[in-house]
Amino acid sequence: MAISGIFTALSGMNAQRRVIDTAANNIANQLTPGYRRQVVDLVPVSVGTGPSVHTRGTGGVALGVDAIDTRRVLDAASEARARQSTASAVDAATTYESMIQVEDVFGEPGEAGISERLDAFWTSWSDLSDRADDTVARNEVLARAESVADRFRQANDDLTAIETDTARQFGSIVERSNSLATQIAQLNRSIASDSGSPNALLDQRDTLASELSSLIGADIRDSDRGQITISLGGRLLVGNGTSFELAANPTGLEWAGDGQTVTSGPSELAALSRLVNTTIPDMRGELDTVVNDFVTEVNDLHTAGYGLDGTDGRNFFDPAGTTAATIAVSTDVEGEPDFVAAGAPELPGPVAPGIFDGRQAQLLGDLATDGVSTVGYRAMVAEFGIDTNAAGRTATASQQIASTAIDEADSVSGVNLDEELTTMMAAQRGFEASARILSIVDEMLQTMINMTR
Amino acid sequence: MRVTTGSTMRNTIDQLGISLERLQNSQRRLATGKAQERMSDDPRAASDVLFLRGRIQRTEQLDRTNADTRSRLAVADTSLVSASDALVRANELAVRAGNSGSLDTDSRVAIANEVAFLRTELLASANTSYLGRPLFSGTAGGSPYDDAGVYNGNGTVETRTVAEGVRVAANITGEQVFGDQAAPQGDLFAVLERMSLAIATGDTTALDAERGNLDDARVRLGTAMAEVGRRVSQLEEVSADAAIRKERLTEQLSLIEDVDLAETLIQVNAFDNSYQAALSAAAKAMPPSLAQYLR
Repeated sequence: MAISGIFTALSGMNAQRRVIDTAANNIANQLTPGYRRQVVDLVPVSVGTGPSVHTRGTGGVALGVDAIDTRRVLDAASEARARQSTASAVDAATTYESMIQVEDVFGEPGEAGISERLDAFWTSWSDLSDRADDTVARNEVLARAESVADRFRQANDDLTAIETDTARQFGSIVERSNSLATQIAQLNRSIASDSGSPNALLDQRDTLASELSSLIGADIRDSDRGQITISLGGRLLVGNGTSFELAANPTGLEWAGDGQTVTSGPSELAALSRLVNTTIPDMRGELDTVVNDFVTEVNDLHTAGYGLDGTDGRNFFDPAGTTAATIAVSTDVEGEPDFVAAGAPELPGPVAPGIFDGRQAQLLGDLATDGVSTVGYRAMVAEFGIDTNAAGRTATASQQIASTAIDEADSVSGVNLDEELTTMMAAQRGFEASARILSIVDEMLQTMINMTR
Repeated sequence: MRVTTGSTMRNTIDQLGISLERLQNSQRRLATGKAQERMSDDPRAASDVLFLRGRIQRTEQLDRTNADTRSRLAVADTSLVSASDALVRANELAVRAGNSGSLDTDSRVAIANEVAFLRTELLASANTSYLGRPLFSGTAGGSPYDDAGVYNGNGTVETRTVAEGVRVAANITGEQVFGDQAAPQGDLFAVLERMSLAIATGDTTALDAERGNLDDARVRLGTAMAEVGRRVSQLEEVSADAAIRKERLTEQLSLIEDVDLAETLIQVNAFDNSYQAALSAAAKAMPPSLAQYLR
């Protein structure tokens, strides 16, 4: 019975040392990203196990403590919420940044915007109407027209540049995502084959899974033996020990196996995908409508007007160039200031008017307010500005929600220094006490042995 | 809720970040002087900015038109005054020649020559141009009247917008001033030519007829002068109004697009102070732990 006491005390010392080691580990890792604090599960030793195998029937005396497991403390539900809200926050932030990029293409309301150039163009027509024969004024109209056409084409080019850059980003996303998926599958295999609690591996895998979730919007589910399965848009991405590859194309990601497009939940990928597949095409469509209206309304008036040579029917803008990419000053008037139609038809007739007639030019100048294109353009950028502003507020709100969710998850699995130190103190006392008992039992045994001398 | 080292650190960093962002935004506004960097900063205000800029440009352009029109009409007015003086003189000569009983051939010829000379002067006035563009030719190019006194211009009256909602006839045609040449009695130059001939030949009947035509021409010229004078006055008034309107628009634009310097300076200071306070609080908030109290 005394001998078993030694082993009881020993088990106590071992257990307390384990507790101290665990607390020390927690403290060392308190700021490690993705680290969940660990606790030691202590249970009283039951009869018939361990070192007390020789002392059956001792009358129900407990024979020590067993540290059966060091496990991670976490709340799966909070973790899942934190992961999902982080992915949403990343989606919202990326969306907002993308919309700012698109907004900057137009440069409003600054002085480099399209609006300023449109205003200057219309003004040059009105100024021409006062001096219809003046070559300088005519050249000014042509110059301002080139400036507007140029700016529209530049806006189109800038949109294309964003698309190209986003396509490149898809490339880096897919590289990272494939790497993460492979690593997670590997970790799954290691975790499954480990019979104990591979806490470090679990932490690492969970961190990678979170990153993958924010990156491509994957769903994460628990599987057997501590593994996880990851699915993307309903399809399996990581199934226990196997992972599937993704590939990038200019408009998003696809499954490398069969080329089917990836559908993802809220994530960086989803935001960029929306940018390339919806936001930019819509923007371009609206811009092209503005350009079409612009070219049409100018040409309609210009073809009815007369140049200095008394000829009408000339186009001002190339009628085939009705998109932002193709708008151009027509060859009818390019480099020919005299062919700019400033004069209105003389009625009845209609015949060519006098060379000082600038009434058609005045009508063209009035398109600044009477026309559809300028008003339409301003409405377009204003509306997009409102949308972008709203996206900004969504991004801020999502960030706050994510912060709160992370704090909640952290309150379960984060390290609190005071707790760990207190635990260490208690374990230290426990260790000392067990050691003292060991001494006492040793003395008792000594006494027993000396009795028989 | 359990507070952990990680959450304390994260929240501190977040709060400092928010404080710093606010400070930087107000510094940017101070540096650029513009309240909106992009449409999305304040979509409604930025939209107003675009609209107001357009309105101001248009107001400025209309005022340029006003100034050009005013100048042209003022010069036209001067020409008409000379023309009027010439007609007064022509009338005097016609009266003198009418009492032809007391005049001999040489005197009559001298008067006839002076009338012819006045006609030439009148033609010169009619062909006045301003900045390379004739005043009385309608919209046609070239001189309105040739040496024979035939009108080569057209009858187009250019109506210009000189301010928002104000349209003014910007020119007056030769025919409106010097008579429609379809009817020989209305053609002032033909009248003067015939008058000169009548004086030289002593044809009093013809002279009386032409004197009647001359009176009609003087009335017509007088009416034209009054009209031009009226337009010039109107344009001056309109220009004064436009200047006030432009000032108001510019003020409105500035209110929306420019930052209030005083307010922004105060903001920058306030945000700077709050940032400092956040930093100091962070230093205290990273809590002392039990470790300090264990030996």
